[in-house]
Amino acid sequence: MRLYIQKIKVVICRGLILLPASLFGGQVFAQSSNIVQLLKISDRARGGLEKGASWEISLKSVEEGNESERTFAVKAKGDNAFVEALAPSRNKGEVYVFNDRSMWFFKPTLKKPVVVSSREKMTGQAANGDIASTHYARDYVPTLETTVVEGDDKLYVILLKAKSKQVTYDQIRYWISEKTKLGVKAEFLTLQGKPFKLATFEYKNSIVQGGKKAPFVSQMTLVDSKFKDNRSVMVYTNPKAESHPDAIFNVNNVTR
Amino acid sequence: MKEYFSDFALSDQNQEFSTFVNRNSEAISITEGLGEILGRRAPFDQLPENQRDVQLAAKSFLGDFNAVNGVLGPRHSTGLPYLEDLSVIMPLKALQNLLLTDGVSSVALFLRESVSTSTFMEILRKEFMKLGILVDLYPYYGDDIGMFYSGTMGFLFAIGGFFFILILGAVILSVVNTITIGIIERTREIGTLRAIGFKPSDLSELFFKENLVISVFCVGLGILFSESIATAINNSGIRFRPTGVAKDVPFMVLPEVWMSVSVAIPLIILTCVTAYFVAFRKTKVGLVHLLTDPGG
Repeated sequence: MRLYIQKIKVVICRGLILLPASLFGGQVFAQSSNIVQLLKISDRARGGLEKGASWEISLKSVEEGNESERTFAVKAKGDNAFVEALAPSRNKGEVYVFNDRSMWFFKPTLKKPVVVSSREKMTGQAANGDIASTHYARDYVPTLETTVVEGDDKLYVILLKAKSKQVTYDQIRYWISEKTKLGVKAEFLTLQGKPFKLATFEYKNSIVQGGKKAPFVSQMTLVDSKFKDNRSVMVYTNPKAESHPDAIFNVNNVTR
Repeated sequence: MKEYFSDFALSDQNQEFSTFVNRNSEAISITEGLGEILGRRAPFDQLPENQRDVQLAAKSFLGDFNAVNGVLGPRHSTGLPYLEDLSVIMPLKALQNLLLTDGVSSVALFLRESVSTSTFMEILRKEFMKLGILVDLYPYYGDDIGMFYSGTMGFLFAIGGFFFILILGAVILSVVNTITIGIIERTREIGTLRAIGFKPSDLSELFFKENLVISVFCVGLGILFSESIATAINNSGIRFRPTGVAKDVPFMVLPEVWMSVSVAIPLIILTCVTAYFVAFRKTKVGLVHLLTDPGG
């Protein structure tokens, strides 16, 4: 009898210990899956559409007083993107192919495409990866740092840590609106966690996908965190949801 | 061009590259170290055609990413290990295409040793002025561009100067000592010459002339001896690798004529002047003392 009572006590004790742990673990799991879901939604508004989309980017930069402007046509599908330079005329015909996390540069005078890093500076504050690599949910491990209230909206502050060295940034602190589920701003951090670049997003464009109208990024402003006058503004125009053949994202087809 | 420029500019390495460029405008020459990084093993001109095709990428002067084709041809060495995987030689046009420019920011000219840098700079300055091109000209030894060179050479000259003063002191003392003892040992000879009617000035002149002939002969013999040793060393093909140099280099001894002459002339003067004064002082001693001197 005593033995049974002792066994019952052990089971109750274990239950008392495991119940809160399982409840807490579940909460953590639910929270992290919510964050990933939130990231996926915000990624879609910045071009990460599974079925494909296209848009144009006008990239204006001011770097140490020197102004430059470039225009690109972007065709994206899932993890891949095909970016073609439209202007200025000296860059016309240059192509960047993003295939998964790899990136190539090609222009008609080259015999073969050149492998480039998405981290490399394209012009001004914009890195190569800023043009089309928008898959934060895929490329980074998210951790909810805190939430902040701004006006009548609540913002989730999420720390994103790179899953591989091929991605554009090592760490990003990303603010997502609870109301719109869109990324509002981002701080790009060094490996030591210090911000070196700031980005703000605007969503005045819209895109129709699956019969539904969804907001789409209209402007991304990148500012050097130390020298505020050094900045790049990416203006997104003509966003369209459209399907693209997989062949255009195959780097072997670029030279043909 | 041959009048002013060093053989380096017209070396086999550069001539080979020029010939290759004439055949292929995309030709580039890389170092063996850079080849290893690219996964290409030298000699590059013997690689299969698909392995010789490379792309060169860089940020242009306009801040854009750019790339051009290149075909691996001859290889070269910079001579410095820390540059052995950083150097590319390519035609100016191809480099301008890569950097999106039609100009050049600097040109280095390698001159023959016989060409005076300052004179050549003056000629160049006048020529550029005639063309209306504004250029800044710097000699390789100037602090503006050659801090490493001028610093290293300054250090070497300081060390060399210190040893020169040490050796000079030892040589002066040895020469003065040897000649003084030599003349003292010949005191009786001086006395005899004085006894048969030689004046003190005649004797001093005699010793002066004797030492002049001996020192000129010995200096000539010394120069001949050092030249023959240098020739023997240079022909023996000894090679060594100095610190900070990529490959081994021949050990060469190259005696400079100006340096030999600048050492020989003071040495001859020192010998003759010493002989004259020691002999002159000896002739001032009384004749009896000179003839009875035990001689050193």
